[in-house]
Amino acid sequence: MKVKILIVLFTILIVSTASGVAVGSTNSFPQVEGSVVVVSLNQNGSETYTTVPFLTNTSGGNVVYKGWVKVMSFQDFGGNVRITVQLRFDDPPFYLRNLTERNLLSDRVLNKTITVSFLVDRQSNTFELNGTRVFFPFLFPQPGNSKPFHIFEFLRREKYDTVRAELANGTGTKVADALGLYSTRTFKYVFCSASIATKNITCENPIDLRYADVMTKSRYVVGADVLFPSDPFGIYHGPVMLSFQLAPSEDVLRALQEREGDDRRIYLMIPVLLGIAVSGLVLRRGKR
Amino acid sequence: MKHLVSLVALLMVLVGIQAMPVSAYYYAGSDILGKFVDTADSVLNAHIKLVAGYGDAYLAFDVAISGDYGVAVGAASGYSIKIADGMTIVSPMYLLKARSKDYDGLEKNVKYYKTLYWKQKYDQKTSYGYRVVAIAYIKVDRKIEHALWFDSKETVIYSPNTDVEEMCT
Repeated sequence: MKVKILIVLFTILIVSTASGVAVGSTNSFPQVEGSVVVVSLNQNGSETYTTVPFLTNTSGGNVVYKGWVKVMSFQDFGGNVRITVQLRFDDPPFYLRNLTERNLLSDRVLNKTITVSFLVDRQSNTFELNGTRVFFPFLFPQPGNSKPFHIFEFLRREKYDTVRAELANGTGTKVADALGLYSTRTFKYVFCSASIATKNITCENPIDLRYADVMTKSRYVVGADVLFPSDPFGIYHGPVMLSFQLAPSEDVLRALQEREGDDRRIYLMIPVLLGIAVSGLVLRRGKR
Repeated sequence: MKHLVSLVALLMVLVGIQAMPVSAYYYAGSDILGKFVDTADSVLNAHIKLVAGYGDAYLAFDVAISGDYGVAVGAASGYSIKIADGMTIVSPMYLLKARSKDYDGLEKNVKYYKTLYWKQKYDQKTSYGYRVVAIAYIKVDRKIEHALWFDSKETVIYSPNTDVEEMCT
């Protein structure tokens, strides 16, 4: 009788452990929006990139533009998908005009929005930019059975138990079973900016950053920091570091918080299952 | 014999339950940037604050930790940050290291790694002084090196486009 009770307890334990297993996701393309920050860079040396300082009569800083990205359409061509993205610029017009007048940014930034299409290879999650394949930073349509790639290498995968992430709009959330994708190669990032208060340009010590550092969960890119050889939106004429931060929605939050099936806790059930087997065996023998 | 069977089974259950990190790593923390309180770990409070300023705007981020189990914190061991004329030197080493023991009774190393860098600094003359806009990347990872079981990695703060708070002076 005691053993029966124990078996019932084991079953409850197994069910409660397995309840974290994720339910299959839908096949429709996810509605994705988020904020982008594009930092303009100058390349100095093969693996050194410096931010671009500027100084005007009334302001100083480094060349950056910000915006809001929205995935507008998703056309499936089998191996490739055409993803059309709308970018709405968020910076104040006088700030942008200062930069376009100095030919630091293209006049296109003065439009309120632009629309760009990317032909993304499903297998590597890349699109072509300046004759090289680069990682598509807004969506990860085929997370399983893919080999994400960026510039010159396949990205490494690393699982995180929990990520406490801040999404665009400042919403905090807990991401369960997040998957980090990153390049093993690094570049030297030198932050230089000018200040109107001091009328000086100052540069900080170089730090090592990865060419791609991406946090994903299923098909969502939670956050991405990717160095591109040129601006994918064509606003700056040189290399950029593009950062994407996913915006929260009901679907997004549900997907991010969902536990996935590949749970290491399952291995911890081994001693428990062994216990059931042993006790069952001994019980049968005892009955005889 | 029956008693023996029950005893063996009970022992196995206890072993199984004890090894489950579900309860052991139960985590409760506040969402405030740079501040989190572990209720499960014997690290009772880890408050990370690092100060990096730009004009009147600043990022606050320093290190303070308390706990009741030999918190050999080595607070900020191997960690250095200097601020001089707005320059921030970021150490590649971990932010802090603590030795901890929680409900499973097993000792483990808990290490906090951080990444911080600037993305934007912008200041503009206005009629009332200077307006400062700054964006930083902030990430703090917590790695638990378990003596017996899997190591686990959690990101306790991930805020890739942090608007640096502007202080009115």
